[in-house]
Amino acid sequence: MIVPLAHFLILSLIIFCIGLYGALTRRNAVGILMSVELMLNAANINLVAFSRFVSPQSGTGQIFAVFVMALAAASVAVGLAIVICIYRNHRTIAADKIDLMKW
Amino acid sequence: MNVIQSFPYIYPELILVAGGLLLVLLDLFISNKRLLGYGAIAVLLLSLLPMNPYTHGAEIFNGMLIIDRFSCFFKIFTVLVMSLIILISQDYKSLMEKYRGEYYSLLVFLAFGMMLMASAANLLMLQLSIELVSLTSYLLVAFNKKDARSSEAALKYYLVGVIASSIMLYGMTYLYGLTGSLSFHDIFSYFRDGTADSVVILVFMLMIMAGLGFKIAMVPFHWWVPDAYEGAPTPITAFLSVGSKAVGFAVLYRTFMMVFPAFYSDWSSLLGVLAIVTMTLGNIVAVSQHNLKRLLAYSSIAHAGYILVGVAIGYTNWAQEAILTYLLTYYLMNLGAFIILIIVSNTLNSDELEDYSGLAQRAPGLAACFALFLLSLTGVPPLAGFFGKYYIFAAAIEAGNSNPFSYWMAVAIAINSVIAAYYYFRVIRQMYLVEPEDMGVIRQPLTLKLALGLMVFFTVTLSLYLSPVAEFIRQTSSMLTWY
Amino acid sequence: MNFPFIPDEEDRIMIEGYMEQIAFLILALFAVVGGLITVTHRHPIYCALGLILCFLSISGFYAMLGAPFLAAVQVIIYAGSIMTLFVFVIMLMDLTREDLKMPPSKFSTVVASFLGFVLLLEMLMIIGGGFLTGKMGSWTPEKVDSVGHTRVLAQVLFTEYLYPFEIISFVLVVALVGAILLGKKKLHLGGKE
Repeated sequence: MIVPLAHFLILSLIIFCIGLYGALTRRNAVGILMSVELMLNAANINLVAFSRFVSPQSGTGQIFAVFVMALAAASVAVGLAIVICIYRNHRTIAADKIDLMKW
Repeated sequence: MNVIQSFPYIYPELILVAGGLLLVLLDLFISNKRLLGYGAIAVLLLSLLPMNPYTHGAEIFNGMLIIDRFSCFFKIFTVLVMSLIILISQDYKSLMEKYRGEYYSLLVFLAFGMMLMASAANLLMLQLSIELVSLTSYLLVAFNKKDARSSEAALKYYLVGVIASSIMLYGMTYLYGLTGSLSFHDIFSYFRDGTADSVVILVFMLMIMAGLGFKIAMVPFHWWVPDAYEGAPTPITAFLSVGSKAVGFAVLYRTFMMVFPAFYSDWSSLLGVLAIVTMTLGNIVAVSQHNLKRLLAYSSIAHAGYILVGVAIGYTNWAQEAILTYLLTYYLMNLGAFIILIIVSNTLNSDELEDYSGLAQRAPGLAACFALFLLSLTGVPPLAGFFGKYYIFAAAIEAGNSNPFSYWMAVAIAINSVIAAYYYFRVIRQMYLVEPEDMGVIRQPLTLKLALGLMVFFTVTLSLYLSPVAEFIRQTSSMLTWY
Repeated sequence: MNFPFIPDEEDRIMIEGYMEQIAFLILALFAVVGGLITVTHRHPIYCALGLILCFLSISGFYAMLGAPFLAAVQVIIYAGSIMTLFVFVIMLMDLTREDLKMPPSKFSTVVASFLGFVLLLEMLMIIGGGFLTGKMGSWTPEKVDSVGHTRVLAQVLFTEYLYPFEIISFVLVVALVGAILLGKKKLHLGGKE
């Protein structure tokens, strides 16, 4: 293993920051959801990398990563269901056009 | 304790899961949804049976969960909150009749998630239980799917929620990377033994605070609150403001007390500042609100600020008692206020303050109860809310010797109580001193009256006769297990 | 160097190391470009494609990190089902041109860039500080190989992590019930209006 831990951490950090940037600037709900997926994946890279370098004998990080994937699937299902509801009611998913209530 | 030995400790949770799934099944055959609601309440109450509030503490499932008096207090609290929420949903008109079966079972599942949150002692468990509660809450907020405002509220709640929770997850991964373990115990001992740089830990702590702060509606993560509260079905609003917030505090308190005692001075002052900002902002914005749901939303932000003072003080017994007492009294008076909102909106289809004018003439009993709850929320001396506030205040003063900043928190609480009095009294004035526009009868269904009666009864009882409850809480709260 | 070049054991390790680093860099490039497309492109379908690119390269990282099971799951779950869900929803909604062309507001761009940048710098300092070495522990390639092995992973998952495993299945049930409830279309059949 030549690629050191720090490389994986920096990569995950870059992906996380891209995701955070997207989550704060995107204006449609699906775009925000995708950016959140990026953030979750960045966390997963961390977990697997730490699992390899810090506690390889237990595999805890990999287990956590599996759970994060399942959680992501569940929350995407719920999120997209809400988005469909919104679309039926408002005919748009632009987060700042949905303004029945003051934001 | 290994998996097999742990099972006797999770009977309450097992009852809830089994009962909830049974409700989903029964929903197919039973057309009278009201029965399902009572079934859900029965399941919740049944789960009280195996609980032992005087337990001596046990770490189960290899330290994933901790069963101690602190978690048991919150489990009982969960049952109290959820059964009342189900009771007041029975006659809440705006819910679609067809989906009530799923609605009740989702509430039971929610109770399961809250119980998990109260006893989580492992980062994985923490993330899982918070997600379970959050996902179910998003669904329930969106439950009136034909109502555009309900789905809008859910979308905003959901987006803030997932962003906050993925930030928290990212912080957790670094804690795991530092220590090589997910359990609170191992992380705690790593910090105790090691020479971890407190600036670095502060960054991770901030990330975790994002996720937990979202659950308790702490200030930088509060802006979903008014919209989600306004758009959600009112019983769910009541749940968000009491149930989800209470277990959020349980988790926040346990996490910071158990994992980060080595960095107490850092997070204590940070949470202290956030507490002051939270209560001030909540109160000031609440002053200009015209919709009662939004008003109560901002007032609940302010109350979160008061309780946060208790968390910031941290390790003293006073602080623990104060948090639990405050949550209990807040449960009574805030749920009471929401019951009134449900009764009134069932008839008037509105939560606007103007429509409450002259409520004292249209429904004197209702107005009197509302006034009682509002006075209690203000913290007027003989009422239950006063004791909650007094405990927090006293805890802040008592901690002042070792931590001068807590005097400032006490001052902030005092000033904020005055601001809060203004907008609570504005509602009372609207009910008593403004002439009503029409004198239509306000329908008061039996279940809501029953729930209202319970809340009034306990608010008054607690005001007159606090000592046994205080004693119970004292014994409970001194039993938060930490290492 | 002798000619013809016959690599011995030492050379082989060195060459493999170079290969791995080159692979890492290529994958990293794909992941970052995919991520950037996801957060900047106007059209949701291209965003989804960018995200798939990113996910696939991340699965490559898992393979490099000795987690073949996760690499497979990443492709199947993320790039497979979650992205399918996204694409389906995007197709279903038939977004109007006007919705797509909306640029992000100046204010939020500035705030987000600032936040992202500060976080990036801060964490880079932490990582660069060599602080995150943790308890390096005694890891040997044999142990890593055995842990990365799906069978060993499953043993831990179904013993030590049994309760969380049950809970996650429960979370999926709840999400399923809720998503069906919200997504169902014929809502005028029952229910009071």
